[in-house]
Amino acid sequence: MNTVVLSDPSPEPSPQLIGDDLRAKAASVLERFVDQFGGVGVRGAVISTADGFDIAMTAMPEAEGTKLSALSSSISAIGDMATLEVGIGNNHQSITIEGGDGYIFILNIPSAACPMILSVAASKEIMLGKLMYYARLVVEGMAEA
Amino acid sequence: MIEHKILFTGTVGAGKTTAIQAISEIPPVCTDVLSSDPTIGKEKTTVALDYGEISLGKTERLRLYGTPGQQRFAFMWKILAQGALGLVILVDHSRPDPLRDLMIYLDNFKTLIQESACVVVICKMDESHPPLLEDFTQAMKQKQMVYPVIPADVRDKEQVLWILELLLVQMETRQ
Repeated sequence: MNTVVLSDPSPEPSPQLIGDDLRAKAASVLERFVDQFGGVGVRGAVISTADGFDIAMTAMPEAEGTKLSALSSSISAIGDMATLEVGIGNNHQSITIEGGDGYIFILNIPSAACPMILSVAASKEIMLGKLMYYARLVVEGMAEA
Repeated sequence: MIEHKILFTGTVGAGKTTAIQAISEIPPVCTDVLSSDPTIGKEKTTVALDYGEISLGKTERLRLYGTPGQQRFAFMWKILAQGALGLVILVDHSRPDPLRDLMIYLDNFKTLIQESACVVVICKMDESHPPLLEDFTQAMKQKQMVYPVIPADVRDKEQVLWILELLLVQMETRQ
């Protein structure tokens, strides 16, 4: 019925408000994170601003990380509204999407100055408990930033 | 209760969230987050959707959805367009190229516009410099799109209700 034909999105400039030090910190935190899995399970990870700009990504093609940043931003905002509506908090802490061949995990990184989101793509081989443990360390590491 | 889905789209900062807040009878659902983009000139921006409701008499209700403005959220445009019966495009006249802005939404929502109803609203209109209303109408005519183009202040409830009126008239004549 009412389908929309998408034209190619023109690339939007990454905002200058994201400082180089924040990018460097995000990159090193992500690097440490994926190292914990020795190449098994984690397919990629990206840290983005709450409004969907990528700050740093690892083990992921840039186009995919940019797109995932925007998608996670929308999903995360809807997650926040849902937790608020149901009365289980003002913000979600994590959202899990299970696909046929893997998972996407979205975690809120609270920060007054620059609220962020961690998105992790993982295959089914991943150990969920281990992943959540190290993902939370990323959140803690970045929340102090 | 007959329900219609109406979609608000348009440039970032034009007032999509504001328009829905102005007329919704329920506390609107908003997905505003802190903006990290200084070029859009406001502190918060919609990243998923806005939602509000307004009833028309005892038998009809409009469900009002707002889209994010920025093009990197175009996937939300596609999702939100499903089942919509009318589209309101808000264009911010104070941006550098409002005509080009309008074209982005006309192109992306082409099918929805052709199958439903559409009103183009020029926000923050400054008639002392182009493009004038006729310029918008002319640009649409070149795309074989003939729909109302009106200036409005979407902070004003009465003016937003007038926009919906224009949309509903089109929807009724189509049925």
